[in-house]
Amino acid sequence: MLQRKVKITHLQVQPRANIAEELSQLRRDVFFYGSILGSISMAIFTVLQVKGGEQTIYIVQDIIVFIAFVISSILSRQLKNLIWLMRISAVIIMASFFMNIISGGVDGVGIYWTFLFPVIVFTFFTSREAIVWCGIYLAFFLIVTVNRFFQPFEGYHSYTQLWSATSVIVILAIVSFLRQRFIERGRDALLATEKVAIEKSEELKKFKLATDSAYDHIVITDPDGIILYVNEAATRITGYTHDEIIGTKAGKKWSLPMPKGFYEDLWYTIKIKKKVYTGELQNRRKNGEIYDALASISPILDEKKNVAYFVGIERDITREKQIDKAKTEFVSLASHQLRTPLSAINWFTEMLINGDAGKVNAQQKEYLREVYNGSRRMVALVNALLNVSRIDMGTFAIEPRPTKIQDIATIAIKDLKQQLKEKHISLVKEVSNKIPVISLDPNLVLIILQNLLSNAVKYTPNKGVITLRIVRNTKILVIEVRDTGYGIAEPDKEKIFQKLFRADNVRERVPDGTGLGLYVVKSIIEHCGGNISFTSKLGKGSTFRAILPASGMQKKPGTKGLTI
Amino acid sequence: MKSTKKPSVLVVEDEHPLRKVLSEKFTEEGFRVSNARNGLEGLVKAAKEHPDMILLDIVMPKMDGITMLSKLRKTRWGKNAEVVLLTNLSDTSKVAAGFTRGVYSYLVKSDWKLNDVVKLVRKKLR
Repeated sequence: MLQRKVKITHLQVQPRANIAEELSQLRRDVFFYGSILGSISMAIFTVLQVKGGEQTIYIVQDIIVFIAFVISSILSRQLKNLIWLMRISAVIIMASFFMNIISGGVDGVGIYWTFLFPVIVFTFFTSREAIVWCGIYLAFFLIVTVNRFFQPFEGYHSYTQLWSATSVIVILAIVSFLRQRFIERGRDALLATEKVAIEKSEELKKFKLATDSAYDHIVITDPDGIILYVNEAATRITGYTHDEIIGTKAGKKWSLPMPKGFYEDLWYTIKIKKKVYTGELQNRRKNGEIYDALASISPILDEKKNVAYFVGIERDITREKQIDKAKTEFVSLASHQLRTPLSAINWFTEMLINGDAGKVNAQQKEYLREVYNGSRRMVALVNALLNVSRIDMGTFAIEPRPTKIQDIATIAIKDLKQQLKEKHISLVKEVSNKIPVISLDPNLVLIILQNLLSNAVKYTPNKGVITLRIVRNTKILVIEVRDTGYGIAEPDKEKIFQKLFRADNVRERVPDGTGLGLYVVKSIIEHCGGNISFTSKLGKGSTFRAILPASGMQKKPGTKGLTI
Repeated sequence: MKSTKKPSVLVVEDEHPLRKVLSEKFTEEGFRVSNARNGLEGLVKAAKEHPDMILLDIVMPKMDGITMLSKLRKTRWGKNAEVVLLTNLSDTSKVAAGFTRGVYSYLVKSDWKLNDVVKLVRKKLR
């Protein structure tokens, strides 16, 4: 109640109510709680008096005071300026109190008034006013008491009065002290937040200047994703104004529906794991135009490691995407165009080698074989490029059907027989016979196996050993290819799945790699909901481990299958 | 069809080198071969010569392979003619369109050995 949260809107601290106003709010609170206390006390006293068979006039007085308290408590929440209401209420109640004493003599100063008086003073007056009122009370009390001394009196009364006077003063002292502390502490707290707010507003001004000149869309939200701040770029990119964005849920205005699980994943990352999320998404501008964005959303944690804010930074990558798409389409088109002349080269060379155009001698035949092999490599490269462009365009299809993975493994191994023989590499097959028929795209599985196995053969020196292991449990299907090859150097490890990357240690030894195989494999596996990892030691060998869901692959329509 | 005679093949292919290499190979292998440069020519030659096998390219000017195939299937002779699609696109939707019109097989030119193409045709005509 005392410390108001500093709200950030447009990164300016809200114009703050001045200290005087905040203090009057504090007094209003005191007034309210005091009135409530007064009304409860009066209600109890009235009931006690009715039960004790008190005179009607006193009971009526009590009820008036009670009503005054109730009205005060209600008005303290309704009225804006209380200062005069406070004074008037106090005067009415105090008047009633003095009336009580006058009409009932000093006997009127009962225990309940002794209690009530400090409550009234505490509730309605500042410390200084309270002292004045106590002075009036004491003077009045003295006059009445002294007056009483000159009249015949009963000892009972004088004791009661002495007791009342003493307790009033003691309670008053305590109450004044508490009240002073209460107000002062409130004021200190207010001053402290004010100071922080001013400091923050200075910091925020700098921050605002910095973020507003940023090219990227920046949004700050509370832990529930409600937007507290957006920079200029966000309004430029989305087309919405500050006022249209502030206070809405992040992305509500501009996000397009994303694949199932996308937002769950996002929230899980930033809210539960409290990690930075990065990903691509599609948004819509106010004018309806759709654009691609690369988003990174970071949770900002407080001292207790709870999320205090989220900061979302988005870059409009529509143009980059278009360029990328054009490039991919170009690769696709060029590759198709390359296939026709390559077919002609292949077929004519094949005819020459076969002697279809007349006998060729051994040397000519050897050269022709070189031409033919070169051309075959080009075809393989074109196919790999086409696969990459299909993966990049997202147009490749997943067409699962009931498949026995053991059969696919047999085909993949058969294709490698020649190479294994040439390099004297032995292949150990650890393929579980217990794996049932599952839903897999046989074509894609074959691409995965062929790439992993042919890499193992390519990058393993003569007389090495390759192990193919395929196992399945209730959750996952594991395809593991282990070799005793050259291994991957530490700095190359992070780049090994990148498109066209080839490690230095094998570039010379194995010149015919395309740098596309692992990229294709990783893309296929990830499209199918799996993942691939590896361990490797330079000079000792590598183990690649592909994991797919135990249930296999889900169908995904696309225009083109991948080529083996 | 005509078992006593040499088997006949019609090569419908717009690319000159490919048309040439296919023609020469099949001639070498003892086939009677005729050529067409596009779907339109292919339709005319097919109707006239009733070849045992048509090797049909997909992407061609004037009339593409799939259109030619559709028109061929509407003729009395063409209903049951043997067709192998030749392609450089591995575009499954086009190949699928071919299969719904009853082609025997399809092959991606750059991935096939010429000898294997001949074997495929022989296997069908045997």
